[in-house]
Amino acid sequence: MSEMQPLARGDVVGPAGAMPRADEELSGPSRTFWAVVGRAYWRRAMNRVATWWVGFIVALTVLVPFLANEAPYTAVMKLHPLDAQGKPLPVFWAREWPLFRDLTRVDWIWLVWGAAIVAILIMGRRRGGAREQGGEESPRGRWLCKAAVVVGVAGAASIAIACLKTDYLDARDYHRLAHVGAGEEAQMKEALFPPLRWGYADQEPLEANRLFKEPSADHLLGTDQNGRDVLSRLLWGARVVLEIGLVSEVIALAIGSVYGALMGYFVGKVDLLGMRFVEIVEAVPLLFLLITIVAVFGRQFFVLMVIIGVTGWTGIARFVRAEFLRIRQADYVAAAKAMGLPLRSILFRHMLPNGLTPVIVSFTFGVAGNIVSESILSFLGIGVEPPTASWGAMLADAGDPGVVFRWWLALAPGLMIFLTVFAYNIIGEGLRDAIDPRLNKLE
Amino acid sequence: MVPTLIGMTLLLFVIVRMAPGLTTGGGQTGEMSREAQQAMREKMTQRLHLDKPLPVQYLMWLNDSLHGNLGESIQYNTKVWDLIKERAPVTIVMNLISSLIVYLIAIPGGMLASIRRGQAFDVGWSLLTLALFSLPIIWVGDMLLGFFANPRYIGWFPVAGTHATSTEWLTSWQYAGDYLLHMVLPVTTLSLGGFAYLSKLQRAAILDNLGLDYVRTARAKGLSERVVMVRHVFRNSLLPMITVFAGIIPSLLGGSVVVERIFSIKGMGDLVVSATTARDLPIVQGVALISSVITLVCLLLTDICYALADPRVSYE
Amino acid sequence: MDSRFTLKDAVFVLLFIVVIGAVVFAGWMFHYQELRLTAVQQTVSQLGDVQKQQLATLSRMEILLRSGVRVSATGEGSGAGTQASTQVAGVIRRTEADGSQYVYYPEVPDSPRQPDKRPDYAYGDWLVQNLGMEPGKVTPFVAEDDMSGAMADGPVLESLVAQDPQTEEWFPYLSDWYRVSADGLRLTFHLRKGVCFSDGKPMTAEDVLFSFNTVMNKDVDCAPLRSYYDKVKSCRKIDERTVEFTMKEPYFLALEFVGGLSIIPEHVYKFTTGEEYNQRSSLLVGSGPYRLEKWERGQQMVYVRNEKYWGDRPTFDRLVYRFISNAQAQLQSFLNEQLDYVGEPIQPDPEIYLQYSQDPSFQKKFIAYKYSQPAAMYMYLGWNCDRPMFQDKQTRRALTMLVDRRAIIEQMLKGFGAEMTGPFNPRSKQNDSTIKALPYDPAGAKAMLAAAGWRAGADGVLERDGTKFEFNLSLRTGVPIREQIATYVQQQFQQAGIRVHLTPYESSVLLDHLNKREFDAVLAGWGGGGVESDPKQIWSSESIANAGSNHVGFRNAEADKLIAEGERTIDEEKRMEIWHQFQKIVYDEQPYTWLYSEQDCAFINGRFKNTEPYPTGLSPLDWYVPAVEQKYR
Repeated sequence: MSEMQPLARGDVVGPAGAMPRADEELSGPSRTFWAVVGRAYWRRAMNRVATWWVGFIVALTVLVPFLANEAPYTAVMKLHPLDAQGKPLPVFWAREWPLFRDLTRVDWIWLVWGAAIVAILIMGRRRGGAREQGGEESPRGRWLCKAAVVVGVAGAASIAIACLKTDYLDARDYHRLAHVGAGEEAQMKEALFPPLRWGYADQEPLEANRLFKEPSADHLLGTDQNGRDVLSRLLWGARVVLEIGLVSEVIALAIGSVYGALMGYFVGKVDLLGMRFVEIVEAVPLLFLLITIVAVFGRQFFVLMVIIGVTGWTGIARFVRAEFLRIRQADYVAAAKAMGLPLRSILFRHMLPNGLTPVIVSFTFGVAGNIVSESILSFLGIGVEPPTASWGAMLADAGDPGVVFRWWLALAPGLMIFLTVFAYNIIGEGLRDAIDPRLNKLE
Repeated sequence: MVPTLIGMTLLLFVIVRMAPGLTTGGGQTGEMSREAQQAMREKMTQRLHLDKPLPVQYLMWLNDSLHGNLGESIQYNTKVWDLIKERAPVTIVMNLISSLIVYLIAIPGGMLASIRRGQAFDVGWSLLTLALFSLPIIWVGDMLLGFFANPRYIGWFPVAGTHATSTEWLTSWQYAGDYLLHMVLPVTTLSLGGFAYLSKLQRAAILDNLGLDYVRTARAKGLSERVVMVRHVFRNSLLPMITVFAGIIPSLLGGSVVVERIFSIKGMGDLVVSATTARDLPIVQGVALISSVITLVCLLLTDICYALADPRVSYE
Repeated sequence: MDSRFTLKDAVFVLLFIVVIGAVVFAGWMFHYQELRLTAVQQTVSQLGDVQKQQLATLSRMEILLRSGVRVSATGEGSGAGTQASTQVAGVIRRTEADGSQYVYYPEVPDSPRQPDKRPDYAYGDWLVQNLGMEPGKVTPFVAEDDMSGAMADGPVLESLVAQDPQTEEWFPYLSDWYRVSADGLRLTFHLRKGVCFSDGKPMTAEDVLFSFNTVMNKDVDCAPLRSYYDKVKSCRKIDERTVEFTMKEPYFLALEFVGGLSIIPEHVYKFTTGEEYNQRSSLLVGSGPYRLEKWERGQQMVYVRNEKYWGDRPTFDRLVYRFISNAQAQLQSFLNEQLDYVGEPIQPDPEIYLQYSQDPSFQKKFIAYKYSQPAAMYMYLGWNCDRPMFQDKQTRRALTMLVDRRAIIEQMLKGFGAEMTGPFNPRSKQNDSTIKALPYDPAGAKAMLAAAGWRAGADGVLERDGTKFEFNLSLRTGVPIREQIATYVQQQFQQAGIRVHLTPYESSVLLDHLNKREFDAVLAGWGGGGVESDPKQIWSSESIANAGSNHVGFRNAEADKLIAEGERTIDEEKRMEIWHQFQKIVYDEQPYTWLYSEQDCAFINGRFKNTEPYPTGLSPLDWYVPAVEQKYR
């Protein structure tokens, strides 16, 4: 795990710690700090490509059930489906929508969030468009408010879905049903399949002898040890990578920033003790800790997200503390103190937002690091539980290349990890340069 | 320093004892019969004093460790210290070679990038090092092993370990050659990720220095740009690179778990991973203790280095 | 000013490089020193080569003489069947008047295929094998803790009885006769005349007693081994060459366990405290055909022929064990002929096996075998019979019918497995071969599930009396084949409307769960055991709570009765009858879905002859290399 340490530490040491001096960049009174940063960031083609790639991953995450699934969007069965009592259902039900019925809670939650993201982006674009046309620009505050409402609605909807929806277990083998001349069961009369007819856990029948097949027309990227389609798993893997990367980093960020903020605000004894604790935590053998936690809680997906998050907060804590130590001296904090504002308010309303700005940079690096962590955990045999499709697990499934080298199993997932990690790192670099333009501006 | 160390050992101890499956022990080969489990438990109890209350266990362990006795491994029936002595050299050598390579490439790269800042080389170099840093190490290892150590493709390099399986007929130089040949793939894998950080740091250090007064003075003196750069700026910018090295030391011992696993190198990382899955607690505790002590020492060392390198930094 | 800091700079960088270079250099020089030492040892040992050649000539004459004598004595040609020729004149195997069993072998029988009578048989050459992992200790008994230690002790230690690799029959080895009393409680062994340890001292009853007491000593680190002997009440010496073991209760494996005890010399190992014994990590002396000559840490262990061996002269000059843990490195050094044998403990990957064994250029130089051995491991899916969904037999049988065991063997194991119809090794006598395996029949299974009362609920999952058919399948993490099988099973069950969650655990945690019986279903394997295994530990209802391994909670009164009866039955035929009955019950109940019994494979260098596997597996000490093909001299 320490392979990914250097750059993460670099954030702390590096010169990016300087407070963004947005005022220097102001070319017009209406340009806010973020507008400047955004413009500087978007100017570079590299950053644009990386951002599009991450956008692509997000889109994939949301839409993958409709792209790669064994169930057809819609189908008509030769025999009408039976109800629980064994009587045929009315004709109205004869057209089935298996793919939609099979959508899981996670699928629905991602759909909700996908819609939320699209909504926010459209609102943002409209705002930008209005500005460009020289029209009345809606204030940033209102846009933020609207976005917050959308996020809130999406969050509430996700919670509702998580509590209320039960996942449907589809016992049917659609490959066989669609196959002409297949025997005993009701066949499909007509069906509309997704572009890729394989789900991530969907296996070729064992007797068909399609384990470990090299790429062919049937399976563009070959099949793995269970006769599953590698391409389908690759697409589904995007979701796992995004979830692990984001959720773990959010956890790390939450712990690290609060901890760092407290230390940075209270200097002195609290800080001293707190820093010792950080040192202690950093010196604990990470690997043993990981294996222990996994042994206690199992290899469930959310456990892994929490683990990766919980073990990754120290860097952020150090970073935020350093920021706070600097901000403490700022006038507005002194003013807030003089006004007799409560500690909570000073810390979280005034200091934290300012201290967090550079943390966004380390957030993107952190996401990249988490993706790598996940692959390392899978490699050590403590990654996500099967049959979840994660790129790290797929890489591990490729087996020991020293024994039998199955390049098609390792090549694609490795490439995807690389591209995604690279994209996040470029975004991090790009943001750092944009937020702290000092380096580029020299001379 | 000392309280930190005590806190560290305490946390370490708690985590290690928290691990489930202690009473069954970990079978390396397969499911164990109850008798074998019972035996394992007895052995564990004997070696780790599991029959005593936890605080006593902790104190006994601390006492033993202070007297240089790290206990005896459960898997190998060998003293932990002997095992570490046996496994550490490979890991250290491997990591040293790779840090050497990283330094030798990253420093000139960073310098060049800072001279040509904003030009194609700067952008390309930072992109390249960032790409190398983004490469998943497992994938690189797998691919190198699969293509370069597989007779079916390009079988230039040996597939595993640090030396040929029978070395007794090799001369000294042949042995060295064999050793180096075995090191090529692991060291390559290990080095790739390191360039980005160091060359970025180097570049930043030079740019920092360029803005300082002494450079202006030197230029004002009429020194040529070349002399200013080579004699003044480069030299001063090397200091942070050296101080950073103190931070690398702890990872020399344990920074290559994945690489050791991929290339079947019997080093420290491999020792710890297998000990962890087998619940060989004496090894886990021993190695963790040593590495945390080293980490602490290095943190201190880094601070001292900073203070020495930059007199403006002072502590208390 | 300029020159000053350039120098400083240069010095610093130089120092840095020099330090690192020195460390690297020291690293390998250290290693090299060790190797030089070995080389010196080797030249010393080569001095004796002239003598060895003379010995070899002598031994060749000896073979000719011996085979000649044998042929005339038995009156049979060497072309006769192997079974007949293994018979040694004067063997007595009878039941005496008091009902006790008496077995007498005047001399140790030849190995079944009698390699030393073949025309091209020759002494000499080395056999270089791989231990996989370097053993921590080779101290007898203590070393058996880990597999490599047990293997390392193999050529040096011997026991009172041995097993015929062809007929799987036990015969007296270090003893010349043994007697098992009618009630099975007393086992008497009489030491063979002339048996001596590698230092030339004769073996006595005292040594047997000492060996037994060492194993039973609580301070000696060999608890797993000790547990085999907890049914032994006492061991006493009757006279200088006779010992008697008394059992607490009759037990059908008593002869195997007691007779299988390795005998170590008291005069070498004598100790006062168990700790003292445990500390002798590299002392290995026994009566076997080879003795440990040197152990180069991290490199190899070298055994030389025990010139004072009491039996027939051992074939090889040297046995060498290397420690290569990586499968591919092992294969490469085998292909470079630095290793003579690839097999246990690191077998070739099935795919590699198939690829190479069909390659003509490989066949020219090497031999490949696929074989099975009695202690083969078997894989199963165990259903926790206390869980509501697994309580009835019909459901369990339906689950088995959902799993295509034959396809698993063919596709996933590449044929390296055998179908099972119960808990016994499919090719042992214990197994009743008339039992038919349940077919793979998903449609039939679904019908059976429906008959057992399972109906699909609103969410597509089967339900019965409010219980959803949804469970966790626990398995060991990090073993690819197991994850592969579990994933397959998950899909098969899903297509029958059963939701399975895979929960991989580390082996120690999995064991914990099994012992506490906190699991729904498990994918695991049982291994080890001998030719005949005792079903009590896994199948008796006593073993559910009482430190046994009946994790699934199988309870069947009739099965219990049969197990108890079988354990006490010393007569083999009757006992097999009982086991067969027991097997019928267990297979009918299907508390496990038996998946397969593993098969082994091995590569052997082509210069070795007589390498065909026996029913008990490969037996390297029977191999030989014809004089013209010998590689090491």
